[in-house]
Amino acid sequence: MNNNHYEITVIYNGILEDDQVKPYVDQTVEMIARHGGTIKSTDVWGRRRLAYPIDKKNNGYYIQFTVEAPGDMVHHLERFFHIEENVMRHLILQFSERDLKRREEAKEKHAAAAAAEAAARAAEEAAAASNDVDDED
Amino acid sequence: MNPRFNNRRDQNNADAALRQQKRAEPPRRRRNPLKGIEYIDYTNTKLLLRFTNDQGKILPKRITGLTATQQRALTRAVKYARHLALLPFVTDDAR
Repeated sequence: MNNNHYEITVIYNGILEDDQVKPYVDQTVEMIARHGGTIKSTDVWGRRRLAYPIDKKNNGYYIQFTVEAPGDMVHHLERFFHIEENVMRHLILQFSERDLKRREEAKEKHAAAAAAEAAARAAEEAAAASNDVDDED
Repeated sequence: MNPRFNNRRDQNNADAALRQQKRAEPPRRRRNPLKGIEYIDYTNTKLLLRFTNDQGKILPKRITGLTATQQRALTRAVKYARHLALLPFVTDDAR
């Protein structure tokens, strides 16, 4: 059967503690597998603050799967997400082989840039700290 | 009709000259607003924020300087990001 590439992002209820989310994530993974999908990669973003409240909640637990699956998995999964109360939001995107590659590259660059920025900030803070010490002298 | 001119042709010419003058400064266009980013990723909120205004609205192509294709990709990316609460639909800071 012809499989497509999907990127599935799910936001679980932010009220759940990190260890409480696990069964729901497993359930989703199970759901994907049952409908003929194979998970290529799992990207756990963890708890994040939402840009606006969803269902009166300000936090969500984000997880992103890259999946190879037949097209009819999508509506099964959509249905499951709608019924499952602890899934606040989900987004299923289909990518062509070419887009997937470009996307991977973009992601890597994005991650590298974020890492570089974090490093720069750390260095800056370290410099600021040493400056503070100088001031005391 | 403006009494300063004897006929319409003179006035038209004067108007054209004025328009020319106004256009003397060429419209500035940012050369590459994406700075080497060839794919607009909807999870890259930092990038997307550059193309939205303070209210969270997507800026027009006229201001972003993106090509039509890039602008479409941007619009889509912003909308996905909003759906996942990575970007706000509205920022209501105005009191």
